[in-house]
Amino acid sequence: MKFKRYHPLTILFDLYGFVKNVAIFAVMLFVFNYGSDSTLVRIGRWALLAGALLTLISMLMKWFSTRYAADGQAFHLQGGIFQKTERTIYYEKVQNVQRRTSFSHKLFRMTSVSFQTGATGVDAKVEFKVVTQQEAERLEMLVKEAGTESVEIPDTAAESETDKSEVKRVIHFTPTRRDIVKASFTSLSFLFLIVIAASLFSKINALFDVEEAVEGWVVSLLTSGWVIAGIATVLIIISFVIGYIRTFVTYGKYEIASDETRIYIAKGVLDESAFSILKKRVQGIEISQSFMKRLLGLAEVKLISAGSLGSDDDEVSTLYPFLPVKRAYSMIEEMLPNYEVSSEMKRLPRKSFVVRIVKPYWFWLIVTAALTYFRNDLFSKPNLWWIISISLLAVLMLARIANYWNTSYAITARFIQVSEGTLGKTTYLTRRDKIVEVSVTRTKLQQWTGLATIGLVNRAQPVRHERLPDVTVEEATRFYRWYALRGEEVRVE
Amino acid sequence: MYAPIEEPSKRLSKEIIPAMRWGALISVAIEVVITGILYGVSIYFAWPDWVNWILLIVAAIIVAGAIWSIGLRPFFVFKNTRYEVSEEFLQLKSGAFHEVHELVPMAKIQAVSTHQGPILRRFNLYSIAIETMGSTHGIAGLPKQVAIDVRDRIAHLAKIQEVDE
Repeated sequence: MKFKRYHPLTILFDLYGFVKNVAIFAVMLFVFNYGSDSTLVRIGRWALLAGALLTLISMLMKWFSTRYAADGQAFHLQGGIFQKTERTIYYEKVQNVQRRTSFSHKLFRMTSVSFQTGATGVDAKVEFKVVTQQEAERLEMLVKEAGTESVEIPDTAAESETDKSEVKRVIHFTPTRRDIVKASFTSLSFLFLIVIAASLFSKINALFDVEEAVEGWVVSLLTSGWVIAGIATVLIIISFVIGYIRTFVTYGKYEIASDETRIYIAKGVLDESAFSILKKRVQGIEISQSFMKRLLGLAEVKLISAGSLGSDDDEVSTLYPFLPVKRAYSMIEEMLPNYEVSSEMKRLPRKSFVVRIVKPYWFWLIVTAALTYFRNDLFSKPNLWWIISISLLAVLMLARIANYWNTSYAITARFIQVSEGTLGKTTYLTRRDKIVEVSVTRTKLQQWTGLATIGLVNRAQPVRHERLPDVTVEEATRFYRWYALRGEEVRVE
Repeated sequence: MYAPIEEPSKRLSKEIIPAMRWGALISVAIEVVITGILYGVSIYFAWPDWVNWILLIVAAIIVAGAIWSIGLRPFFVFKNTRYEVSEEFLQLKSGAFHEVHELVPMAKIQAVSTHQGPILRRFNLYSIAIETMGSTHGIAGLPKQVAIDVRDRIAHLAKIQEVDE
């Protein structure tokens, strides 16, 4: 086994990160307080210099002391300046792979790659912050080969028919210009500029009002309907273009592809990122629609993985977030033949609607109590407090009605599918053998009304708890027994 | 025809009732002592009236809590808790006011352990904690030999690994 150091550019990237973090302090201490002689500033300057020196030394030492190796089965990591540690991470523990090529990576023709395991904490991933393209390729291949070996069991009919050696990569989706226009519309990014423009416009208006007497003709020009309409149109066009560009930069070069065993998602124009996951490691699927997306018939499909998926903004497990609903569903079936999306979903029974409506409105009670107590201090109008209280109750009731309306579920032979939401809607689909545990709970109210809450847990980061309140107790029992029969499709090593 | 979920067959040790009573008694005693001290201090330093009122309310809550946690809860817990360990599943049931059925596949269990605090030791009982990938489950009070058997059985059955598909 040959241990290697990480790429030397890692130091440069770490340094860049450090500089970015302390830049504000540095500017404050050395530029804004340039001539200052105060003790505080002087202490700050020395502390900053000492900190920078220490960081630089520790970065160098860290780089010299950490090494890695990758053999046929595992990553071996050595590290630590004072306390030596060694870690071995087997490839089969890798849940998903993320490749990120930021703009600065591109400058040096580098990339970064991280292998996420199902563990939590610092040891959850094996990360290479800066590697050459070839090395990243080599590491990914190693993990990939280890992953495919254990799929030898004839999984689905499709798999046993096709030849293993031939890896067919099918591209399922790349956004067209129309998709991007729709996407930029959905994200409402264009509104931002309109708001700014409007406030700017009113300011200008106010400014010219003052000088009306002198420059009356400017005002007459600015306030004339045509000019305003013209300026508004131009602004709207500009903001659309900006929205479009912003959307294009993040979602423009999207590609969703898959082969026999894996799913690949690549995105980004300036900062590129790529994500790949073994199909058998997909723990579940989430299809979510915000209110806006529902109006436009778009949906976001997310793959649930036991490995970490990164923070929200650079999360890459999402299949294109602005898919037409129908396409989203058909794509799931194309890519994951092991998953079935059922289109026939059951509503909750009438009585659960009644139960949900009459359940106490704690929030409303607290607000109303506060309003009643402070009614004389807060409002000049005597009737306002109970109007607010009643409208709040109405809104809460409407929300519950909408929530009931959007809730539906289906339990089929191997799958469970749950839809919930108030304005938006989220559908969660998982397989019986991927569920880690289930529960059926009944409060006293539910026992009286013959209802129950079902719950299930899936591996994810963080662990995913899915609940569906107020199904009939018969259905809950069916769900419980359904899960008890999971042995039907679970294979044991 | 609807048939409710089959209850798991095994029960807790009956000794759990006095054990829980003792535990609850001790924590109520601590609460009473703290409230008492606060009341004494309040009287001594002549704190405003509303402090005493709050302490009185706290005292009432403690009394109500004591009736529940010493008098009633241990019996209900004993009466309503069931568990069962089969080849494939760990099955748990608890609660009457808030009834909970849980079903955990053996292969998804990560760790089992037995625990014994000073009170449980006095009654020669053990509690079991079962960790899965998602959460921790507990069985409150079992006689020593039963607890160790259950632990070992779960540990043995949990060794089985499922194949990802």
